[in-house]
Amino acid sequence: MKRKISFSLILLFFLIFLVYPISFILYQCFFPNGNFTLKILKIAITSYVIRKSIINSFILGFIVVLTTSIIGIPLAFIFDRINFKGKSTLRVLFLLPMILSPFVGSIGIKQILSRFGSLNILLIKLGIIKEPISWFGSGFPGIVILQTLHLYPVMFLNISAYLNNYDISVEEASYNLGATTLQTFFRIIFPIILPGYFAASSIIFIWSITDLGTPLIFEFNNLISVKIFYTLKDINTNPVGYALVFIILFLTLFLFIFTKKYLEKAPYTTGRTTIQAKEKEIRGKKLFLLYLSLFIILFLSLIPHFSLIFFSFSKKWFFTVLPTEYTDEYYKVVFTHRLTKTGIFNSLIYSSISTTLDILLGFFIGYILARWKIKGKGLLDTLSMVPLIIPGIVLAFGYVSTFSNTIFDPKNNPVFLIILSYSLRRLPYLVRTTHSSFLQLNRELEEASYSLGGNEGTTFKKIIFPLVSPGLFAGGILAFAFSLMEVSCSLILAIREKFYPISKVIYTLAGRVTDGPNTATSLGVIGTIITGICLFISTKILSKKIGEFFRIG
Amino acid sequence: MEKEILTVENVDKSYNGKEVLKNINFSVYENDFFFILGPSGCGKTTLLRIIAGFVEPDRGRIILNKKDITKTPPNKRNIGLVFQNYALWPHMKVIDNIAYGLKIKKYSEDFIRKRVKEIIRITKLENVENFYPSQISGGQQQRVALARVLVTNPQILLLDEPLSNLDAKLRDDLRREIKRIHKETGITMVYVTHDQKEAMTLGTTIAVMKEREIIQIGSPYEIYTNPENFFVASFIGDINKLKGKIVEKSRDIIKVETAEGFFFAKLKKEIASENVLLCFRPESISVMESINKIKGKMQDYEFYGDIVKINIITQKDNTFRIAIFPDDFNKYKTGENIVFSIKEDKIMVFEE
Repeated sequence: MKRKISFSLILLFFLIFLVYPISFILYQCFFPNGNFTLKILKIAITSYVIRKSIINSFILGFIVVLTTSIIGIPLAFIFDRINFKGKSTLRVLFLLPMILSPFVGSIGIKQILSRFGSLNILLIKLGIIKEPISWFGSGFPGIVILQTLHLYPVMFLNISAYLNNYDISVEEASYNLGATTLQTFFRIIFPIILPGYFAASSIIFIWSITDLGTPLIFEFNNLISVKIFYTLKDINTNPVGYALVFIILFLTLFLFIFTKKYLEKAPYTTGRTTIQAKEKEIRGKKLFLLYLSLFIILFLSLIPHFSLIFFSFSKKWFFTVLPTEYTDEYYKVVFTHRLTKTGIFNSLIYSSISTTLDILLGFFIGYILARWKIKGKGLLDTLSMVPLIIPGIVLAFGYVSTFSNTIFDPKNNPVFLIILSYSLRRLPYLVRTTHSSFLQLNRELEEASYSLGGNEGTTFKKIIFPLVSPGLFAGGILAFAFSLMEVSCSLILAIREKFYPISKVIYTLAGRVTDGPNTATSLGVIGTIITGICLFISTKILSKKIGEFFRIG
Repeated sequence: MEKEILTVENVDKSYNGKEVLKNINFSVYENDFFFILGPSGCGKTTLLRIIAGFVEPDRGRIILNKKDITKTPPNKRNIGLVFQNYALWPHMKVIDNIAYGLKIKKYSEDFIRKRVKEIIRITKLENVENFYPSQISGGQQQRVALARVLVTNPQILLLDEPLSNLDAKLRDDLRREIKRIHKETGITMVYVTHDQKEAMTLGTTIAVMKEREIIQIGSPYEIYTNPENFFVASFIGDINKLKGKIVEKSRDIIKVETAEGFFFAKLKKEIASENVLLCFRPESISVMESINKIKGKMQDYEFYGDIVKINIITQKDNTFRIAIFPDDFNKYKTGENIVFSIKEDKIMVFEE
């Protein structure tokens, strides 16, 4: 009975704040006048520009999955299998790109890679090129670069988690039977980590095609997300936006179901890991090469960070590789300016509350999905994953249109809806992480507790929570980092200045002609540092306290 | 009359239409060391999980101390379960793993300390109590799993192939250890295994399972000397078999025609078909009888020290295995003929 009530409450929550706003949009798409019509969808599909945008979005998604795999998978293996000095610090540094919103990063990297940016000027000075190269072209390569740098940690984290969770003897058995490293990788390791890879890929793909901030800064408009954003402005006269939302929902839903079916089919958990992979010590030349390659990747992935920092300190930076004059005045502005102060304060509040909500909800839902036998579980699973395929702009727009003139009206006070949108958008990550932790958690550990007299509560508190919490904290970090610099919902929902979160402040400042962009980057740096510190602390806690003792063997 | 602790009554269980347990019935008495013995996949682990409460039977009842516990959740049953993979909690020290059940039951700290200490002594874990499970050996992990359950003093202790993850030497050690603990604590145990040696050496009662069903329940002696059918006979110990057809019957003595000639056997129960399997244990042979003779060549032998087992092949290509004492072994040579016979009451007769 208690179960049914809490279960129903969770479902109700999703119905009101997720299903209803989305249904509202769909209704507007197919029943604009109360009668069913495909007219709006037809207008969208027959348009050449829209078709092109859809194709572009897909190409973007696939390329980013590929590039993040190329970086993320080898990294995961290096950190799992090799022991070297500075490993834990490097691990944190490699996660750093994740906390830099590509939207903020693109302001910085433009300074480096633009036509008369640092790189071209450097190359011209060195005599390598004569004419400046257009690195971004249409802007598309720029989006790929920033999304890749932002998203490869997702791949890295997912693959690492899977590598951590299987018995190394399955690999050794393959070597024992005469397989080479490559054969073993493709026949044994890859199939085992495939579910993790698939999950990571689908997250990355969906993230990539629904990213709004980055294409906006690069002014690359032929993407479905940007098209949706622009049609939002005149949605009352041009309903194509509804159709676009429908298309993106349909496509991502398809991908999601496909992934889900696949994961169900391949529950490769080896259960108890009897033998843990031994970390190999390397020395001399090999160690040097390892460091070199790691630092090169790190340097490249931190270019947006560096450029952001230089930009925020630069007083003069025209046609030179690095700024010619530096100043700290923009930082002073950040801490004195009313707008920036409000932004930092608001973002911290919004993100902390939404992350707490995420952890609680994510854990509970993950638990229900993995352990309860209750009717409607499939529905809950779907609902908790739906936010993954709902771009922020869609959710935000849904909120604005659905809750206008109610107590939640964002025009009056958007705090509730902002927190809720942050929370809902990150919830799938938490549910996913906890759910998969549960699936990998040997059920006998719980059963042992029950058979010794523990009830659901105690077992939860003493056995399940301590064992699942590493995944939970990792998910919490992700949620917090993403929320702090969240773009789409922030831009749309925070209508009055007093409720602006950091990203809206940055966006506003970046649009100001004179000192605006500098202050914007300063704020971006501060926001990134805050999330960086959080990530650092959490990773320390995770690796020291929990990581070591969670290996049974 | 011994006291019944656990009764399993008419239990059926299917998964997705596939029957895994069929009409299971048995009782376990106080201080019993009850074995459920069967090959892999015969449903014995499911049966154990039903007793522990992790699986609900489709039909039937589980009765513990005269109380129907079929619907009782596992945490209210007070049945100890030792998992095949131990299921030790990796985030708790050995001592915390062991104390868990007592803490759950909210005993006083003083009592918990004393009781845990006692169990640690019984299971010989004194040196590792402050280690994490990952830091101790497989044998020690097994002891912790045992200690964790024993400490709560359950009404009955279930063990799911507890020795299957250990090497031979450790298995032997722990087998003795478990026997000692059984004696020392007097706890009633239900032990699931596919290893007949374990069942024969430890068990007071054995239930032999085959494909969802219990075939026979009895003491190791009964099971060995008077198996219900050929499966039981062959699952426990070595067995020789010879196909044949009943040609004559007078009271409980039958005359059977086989490829090796006519054999006489004593029936212990009525048999329905004419076609039978005559079986005997390697050690049941004798050399003195005038009937039931088998002649063959000695193929090879296995020397066990206390006995020697000889493999014999007859002219009709039937193979037999006999056991003799080492002192008698000197008379025989590989490749030479051996004649032996079986007393008619040592022959087990099964329907074919």
